[in-house]
Amino acid sequence: MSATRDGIVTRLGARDIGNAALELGAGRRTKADTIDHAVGVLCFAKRGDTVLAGDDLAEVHARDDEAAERAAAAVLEAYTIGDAAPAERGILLDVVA
Amino acid sequence: MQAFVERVRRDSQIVMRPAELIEQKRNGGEHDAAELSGLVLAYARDEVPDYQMAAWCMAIFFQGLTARETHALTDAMVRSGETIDLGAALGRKVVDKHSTGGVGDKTSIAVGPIVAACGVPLGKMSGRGLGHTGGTLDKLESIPGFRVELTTEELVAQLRDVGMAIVGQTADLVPADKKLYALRDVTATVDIVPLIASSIMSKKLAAGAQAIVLDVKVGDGAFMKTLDDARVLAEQMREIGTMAGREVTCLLTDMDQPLGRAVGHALEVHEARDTVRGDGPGDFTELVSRRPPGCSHIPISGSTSRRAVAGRRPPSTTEAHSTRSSAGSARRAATRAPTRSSLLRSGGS
Repeated sequence: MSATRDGIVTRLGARDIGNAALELGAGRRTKADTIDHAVGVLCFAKRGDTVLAGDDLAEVHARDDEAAERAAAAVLEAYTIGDAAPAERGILLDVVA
Repeated sequence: MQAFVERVRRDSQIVMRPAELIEQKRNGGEHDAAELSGLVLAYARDEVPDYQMAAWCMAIFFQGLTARETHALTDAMVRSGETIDLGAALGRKVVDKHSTGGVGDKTSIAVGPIVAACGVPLGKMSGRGLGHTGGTLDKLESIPGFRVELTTEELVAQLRDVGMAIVGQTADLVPADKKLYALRDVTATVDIVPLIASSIMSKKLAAGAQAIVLDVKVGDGAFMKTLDDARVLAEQMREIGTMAGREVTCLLTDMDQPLGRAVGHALEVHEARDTVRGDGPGDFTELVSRRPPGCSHIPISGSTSRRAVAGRRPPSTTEAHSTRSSAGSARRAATRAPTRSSLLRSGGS
């Protein structure tokens, strides 16, 4: 999936990406579901990254063309590209010890 | 080996009427430890029906549990099954690590070798779990030939020899939680903080590590959406652990966006391996290697031992066809079904 415009990634929705992976077969909806170990999503661009139109945002690993197309659309939905940098949010938010 | 796998199923002598406890909780009362213990152990023995437990859980949704009740509940759940004392079996401190679950969370796979390389044994019993991308065991099983089912003896031997083990549950740990979680899952009573805390902590306590690092995920892709909610859960879990004599550290970490770049089993194993080699994405590298401020006692930074980690075979993972926006022809890749029918849940995810 490529960026459709220049800008900064202001959002990369974890739940949306998770759902795309689930659709591809990486997860279970019920306990009896089997998992496809090979499928998934690689998100090259993360929140706060500057991208140019045409840059690769993400890559989908799918079992077939149809699943790939569906997941690609979902992954694009997970990205929001804007003009202003998003608020800083590091990986470690707090410690309770 | 029998010495550390001890069955502590104590018969409760208390005359306990579930309907009275439901009413007491509904009206905002507080149960004492004996009442809670009686209810949980009776439920585990199939002597209390699901409908009464479901009503009780819903009463807790509205009335909550006190810290004392949460502790007593956790204690009763631990006593519903077997417990393992890894520290006694190894004769040294063992650490455990748990995540409340998130998208692209391959932390255990990378942090395990790092902690082990510091000379601290990391023994983790992991789950599979429902949800977006399964659990740690599912990820590990994308490595051909990887065996996640070890006997308790093998687990202890591997911890001694390699310093690290991530395995499926070896013993009949916390059957009450397994039953209660399945019930909560279908009765809209999953999102109750004291029940989440006791579910996670009962398994950690039963699995026997002395030091427990809890990674509480916060944000869009996590169970806890806000930092405040996550803090409440973290504090409750820490309190349960402390009351049981364990060292507990909770890290609250971002899950608004996926962790690292990879989401999906084989992809995540690759990324975890790259990260241990020093070639991982920034956020994930920071999470697994940085000592959090105020956490000097976290084992990862505490040891200067230069113990090598004996690896298993390097991960050569099954890979699927890769596509950029439009797909080409898909290549067949071996599909590996979970080898075990009993599915373990990674708490909270």
